[in-house]
Amino acid sequence: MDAQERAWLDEYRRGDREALGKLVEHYRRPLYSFILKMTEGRVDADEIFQEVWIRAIRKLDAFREENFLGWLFRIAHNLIIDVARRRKLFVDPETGTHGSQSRSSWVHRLPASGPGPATHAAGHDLGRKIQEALARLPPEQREVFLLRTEGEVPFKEIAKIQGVTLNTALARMHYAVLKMREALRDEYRAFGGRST
Amino acid sequence: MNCERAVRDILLESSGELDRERRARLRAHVAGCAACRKYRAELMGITDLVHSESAPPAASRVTADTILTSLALRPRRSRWQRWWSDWLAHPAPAAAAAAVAAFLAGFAAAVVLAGLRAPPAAPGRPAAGVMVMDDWLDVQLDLLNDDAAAVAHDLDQTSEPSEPPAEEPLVEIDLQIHAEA
Ligand SMILES: [Zn+2]
Repeated sequence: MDAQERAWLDEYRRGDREALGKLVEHYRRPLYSFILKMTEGRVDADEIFQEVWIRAIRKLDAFREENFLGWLFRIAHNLIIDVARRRKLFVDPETGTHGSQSRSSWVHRLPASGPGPATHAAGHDLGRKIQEALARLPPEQREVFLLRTEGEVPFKEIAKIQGVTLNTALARMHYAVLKMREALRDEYRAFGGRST
Repeated sequence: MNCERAVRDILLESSGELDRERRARLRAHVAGCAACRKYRAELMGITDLVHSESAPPAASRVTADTILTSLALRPRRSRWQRWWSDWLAHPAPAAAAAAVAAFLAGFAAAVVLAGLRAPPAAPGRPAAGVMVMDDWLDVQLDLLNDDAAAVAHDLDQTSEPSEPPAEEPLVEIDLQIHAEA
């Protein structure tokens, strides 16, 4: 968290509503984009975005950490799991049922493969192809990849968000990169990347 | 340094989590290893490509005002939720005793109500008293489960950062980069 972000946070704690507005604007792009891409447009991303802020405000007194955005992502991660569980949105691909209630199997209730409504709504070609490639990643790999690309969240923080070891978070990123590279091979070349 | 270790360090380098000494060792490995050079270039290329296409959240209409308005309109937590949170925070014997007493009182009330209102049981169905008690127990258990989940969730979100996990071999990463190289 840089000095400006810390200053806004302190101003809001002292009762300045405008400071909250600045924080919301500052973090809107990474946080909203993460929620939208994680849920593939199957839920109202704005609704979750707002709920993240409501929970963050309620728990603000307990926030003692360095990385405010990482903390927001952690709240978003928990909310997405809860929404998936409560609405029984996503079918467990292994059992064909709506899955157990355990938190560890949350990923099965998120869209595991195939493009969702957000993909079809996505704008131009490259954006659509990226959405489709993301949608094909297993949710836990997609989450690590998005936390890195959208939020630039450090791996140690990602491991904490997902409740896994650092090595597991690194391995998930590694596999996500290999799959994204494969899916976007042509676009990557056009972008200026060298494939050999 | 072997390539497995190098892949791990390339990822940590990309997030600024690699110390100076290991950065130097990685640089030495990458200088002599085409596969790891390729992997590092592709990691940067793919993340840059995806980041460059990060959609502006044009659809997002939430502002500080909508957040604060929604927060103000939100009902306070229920009596049960507050009781359960308090109990988890301070599980004093007195609170436990009060809970048991309240549970028994409710149970007794359900039995009495059922007895007063019970029509004769239809063949093959439980007596109405049993059904009323079942409903009442269901509601209590639902409340307790919801509250437990909510509290566990709250704790999740406010827990202090834990120590970084100890280093272990990166067994999950196999070197597909070499298979394709
Ligand atoms: Zn190597």
